[in-house]
Amino acid sequence: MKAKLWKRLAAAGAAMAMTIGLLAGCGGKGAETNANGEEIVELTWWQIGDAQKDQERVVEKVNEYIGEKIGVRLKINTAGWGDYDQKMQVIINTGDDWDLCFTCSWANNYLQNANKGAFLAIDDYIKDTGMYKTIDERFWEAAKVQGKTYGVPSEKEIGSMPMWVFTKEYVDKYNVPVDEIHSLEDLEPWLKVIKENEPDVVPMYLTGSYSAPIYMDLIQNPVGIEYGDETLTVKNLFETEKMKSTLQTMRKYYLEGYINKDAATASDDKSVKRFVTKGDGQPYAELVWGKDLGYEVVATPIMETYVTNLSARGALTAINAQTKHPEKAVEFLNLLNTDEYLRNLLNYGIEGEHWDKVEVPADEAAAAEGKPYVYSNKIKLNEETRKNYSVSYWVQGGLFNTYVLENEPVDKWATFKEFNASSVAAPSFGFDFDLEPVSTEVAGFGNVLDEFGKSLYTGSVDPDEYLPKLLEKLEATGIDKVIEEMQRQIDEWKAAQ
Amino acid sequence: MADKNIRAMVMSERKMRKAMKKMEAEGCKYNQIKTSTNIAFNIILALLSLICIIPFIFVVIISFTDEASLAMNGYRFIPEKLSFYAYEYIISAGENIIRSYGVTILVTVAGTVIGLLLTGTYAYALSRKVYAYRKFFTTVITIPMLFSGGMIANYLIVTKVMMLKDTLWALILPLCLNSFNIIVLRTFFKTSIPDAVVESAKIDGASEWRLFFQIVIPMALPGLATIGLFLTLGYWNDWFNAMMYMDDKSMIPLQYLLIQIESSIDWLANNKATMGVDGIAVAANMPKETIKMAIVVISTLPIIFAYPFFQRYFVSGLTVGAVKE
Repeated sequence: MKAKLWKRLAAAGAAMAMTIGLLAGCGGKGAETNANGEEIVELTWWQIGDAQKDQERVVEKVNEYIGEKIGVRLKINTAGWGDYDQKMQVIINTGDDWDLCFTCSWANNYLQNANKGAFLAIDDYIKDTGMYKTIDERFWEAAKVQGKTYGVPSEKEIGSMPMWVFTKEYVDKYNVPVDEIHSLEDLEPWLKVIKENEPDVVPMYLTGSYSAPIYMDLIQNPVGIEYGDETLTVKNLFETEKMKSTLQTMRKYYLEGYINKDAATASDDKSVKRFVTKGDGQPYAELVWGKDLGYEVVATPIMETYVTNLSARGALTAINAQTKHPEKAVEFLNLLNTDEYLRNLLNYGIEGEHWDKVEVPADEAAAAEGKPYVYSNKIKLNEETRKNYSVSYWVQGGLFNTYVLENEPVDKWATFKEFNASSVAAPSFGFDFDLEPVSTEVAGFGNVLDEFGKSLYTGSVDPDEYLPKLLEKLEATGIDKVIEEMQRQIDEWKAAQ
Repeated sequence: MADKNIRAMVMSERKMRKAMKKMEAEGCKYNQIKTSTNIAFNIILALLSLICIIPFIFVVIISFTDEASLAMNGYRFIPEKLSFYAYEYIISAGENIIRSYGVTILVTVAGTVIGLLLTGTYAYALSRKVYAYRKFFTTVITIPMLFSGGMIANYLIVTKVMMLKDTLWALILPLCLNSFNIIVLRTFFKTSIPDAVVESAKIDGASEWRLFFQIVIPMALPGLATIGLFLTLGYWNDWFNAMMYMDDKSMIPLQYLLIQIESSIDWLANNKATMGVDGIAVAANMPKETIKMAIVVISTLPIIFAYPFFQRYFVSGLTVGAVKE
């Protein structure tokens, strides 16, 4: 009897061991070499975004190409938009194996990671590369943390461009001179016209994520330096004259009924007919918004476009400080940002399957001649298969090497280049605030802003009553200390320049 | 001492049963509440259960609503237009959804079995008074209940020491042993398995294994079923381990798939300003509302059916009458 039981247990044990083997699968491959006899090294690349169904096949195709060309193969790992921060923190802090990762000012924080030494300083590696010459130098400038470069920026729009977005139907109907409208105050007569003549239309449609036009580089929301202030005086956003009058205007609009009543809590409902709303744009953003809403829109910039650290660090790819292949990683990033075939393959997927080349209309091509970043073809995405491979372009690299889509102008990137060139550097551009000495105070700001920000921005509450309350709370959280500290740091920074 | 207690319990229970039978037979009104109070209580309880059930019914309805009419009218109990689109999508295009479903089921079943085996044996050993290292091993499990090593330490152990990254074991092993479960089960063994039963089996020549598998387990089914249910729920709802240890996106469980969709949508809504135009393109690729709800429905149904299955074992009183003195 006893023997039988043991046999059974042994059998169960063996079965378990086999399952372990099955579940674990097998890993590990011998070193491969390419035609040049180079050993192929694998680079693990972490990206933000959702995993794509056809990703493996695209990466396989990429590997064929870069394996021969520079002796590199890729392994792309993704973590979802909401998870990326946490996931990267664990991976970086545990010294996990990775070579490249996406980083920026708003996810997997570039500044913090660079400061704590997680990223490799690449200055010595990039000097002679093609990408160093082609990418706008202000991107490289923004990528510098305490004088060293820790990431390769994705070249895209360099500044954020707040815009008023009008529904074209009403603009045409009432002959609204969109190009002349910029400030919040400019909108008033037209909001009135819409309110009187179009009862079904919300004149100014705002949602909870709306923030009133801010003429200031918010280095640490709500503390920053006003655009154009060369004296570099640190201020509280809600104490600036500009913001005070903006809030009064918003309140007036709200009381006049120009703004939807639920603005402070609403999330964008596309079925609501609106005359104007605010958007954060870039050149040709109208096309994207229009496609999303299902009708045509026209947009006009609210203010000049300013370049800040936040906006110019919109997307970078950093290299692990502990990587075994720093040269190869830089070589790959250089190829990615200069090689047309590789960039489009990674961006749009496999030609003939996910997209096809299409002709550029002759007159358009003629008009665009001589401009930079104009390609001899546009592309048409395959409606069926595009959902199997649709990545965020700027996560992977610069945009200017990619072909433009069929519905976009062929000189799109030339326009971007012009747009970037015309963007003005904010006076505080290049200054990094070390918030270590005031981290407790800063941590309290979020709650205060959540409590009052939305309702003040949308005009839902009276600023005469609530603005003093907000200021009082900010004071209680210690905003004066933060302003003082930032002023000290920025004075030092200025002196050092 | 313990035997006396049991005897007292058995006696009182028998008496109670007899009394109950008598009362039922006579249609006795003792211990009953007033009809009006009864109705009031029933209404309150009915309302409470409605509060629990309605959201889920709503989810089911939304999953069957036409996406376009949802965008037009918002959520409605009686949808304007019915549609099976969401389910068709899951069956036709949602290969990864179906694969994730498989992963979830496999992990849940394997995890529950392994977890029960480990928890059961550990707790049983602790429940036996003759076990010499009882104190030591009780301390060992109490420590992680009070202090936790934290995320980084866990991650290092699982990926660097155990080398479990990207294997299904990373979803199974971290959850299968839990101090709380062990203590619950140990207490259950202690109170529901009389020493006399163990002793008599020993006298009859049963080995420790036979004693455990053939005497103790059948007697402790209600306790094991409870822990089994805890484990099943834990595995079914787990997404955190998948987020941490699964870089290979083809082996993620259903709940993580859902959480990912949810957190991405949340994140995009909160970061509209930073993402600008790019956010629109990302949002366009997100699954539609009805599909989300359909995933919720298919991920919840099996676990609803698991309840009655475990319920079967929640019949106590198996030990009653096992020991006669």
